[in-house]
Amino acid sequence: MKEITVLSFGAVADILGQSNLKLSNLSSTDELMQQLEKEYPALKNIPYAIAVNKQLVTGSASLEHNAIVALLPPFSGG
Amino acid sequence: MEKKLKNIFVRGPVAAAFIADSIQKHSTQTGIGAHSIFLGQVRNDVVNGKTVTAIDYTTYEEMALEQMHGIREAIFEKYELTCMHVYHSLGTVKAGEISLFVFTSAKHRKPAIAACEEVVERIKKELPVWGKEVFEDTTYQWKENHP
Repeated sequence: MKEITVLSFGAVADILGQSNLKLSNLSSTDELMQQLEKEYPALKNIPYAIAVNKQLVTGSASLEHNAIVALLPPFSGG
Repeated sequence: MEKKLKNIFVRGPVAAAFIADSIQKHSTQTGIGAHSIFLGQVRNDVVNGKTVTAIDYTTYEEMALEQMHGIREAIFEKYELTCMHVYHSLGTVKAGEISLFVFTSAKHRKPAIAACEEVVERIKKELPVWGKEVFEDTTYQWKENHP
């Protein structure tokens, strides 16, 4: 079974109520976002970028077994 | 094999004594003619009548250190630097304390100053770090960086 880890940070982690989720049987980041936004509708109202295995992705990316997907709200370091 | 990435994160604020020590350590490198230092300090912004008392920083460390490695390589490629040091706080940093310390050194001032500025801008834009601005009544808002 294909498993992925979802890491969330900042305002996204606030909405999800946790920073580390294990999910299975998702084949793309689009599919993941649809599932998360259904479960956590507030996610639709905030901006965030997606990284797969530490690389930012644009559009939908396919997910391999053990992929690490990070949900990244706008950075505010410094 | 995974390369060992240089850590930039420190728990809590960057102490003034640590900054002084960092400067002192460079006295043996007598080829250096210029240092440029940027210090980011937590500001007590007032938002809707409430004052920010601290910023609580979190990061996606593995990604941040990879990004920082890329920035470091690009900066050394672009500028004639002798060395560069970056320290960013994690956890709570109170208003008035230092949360970012960027230190570039070169033979001459221009590359030291330009590199320092570029590194600060890239850190703010590209590193996955988040600042939670905590108010005196313990409510908070997520910080937004200005371009």
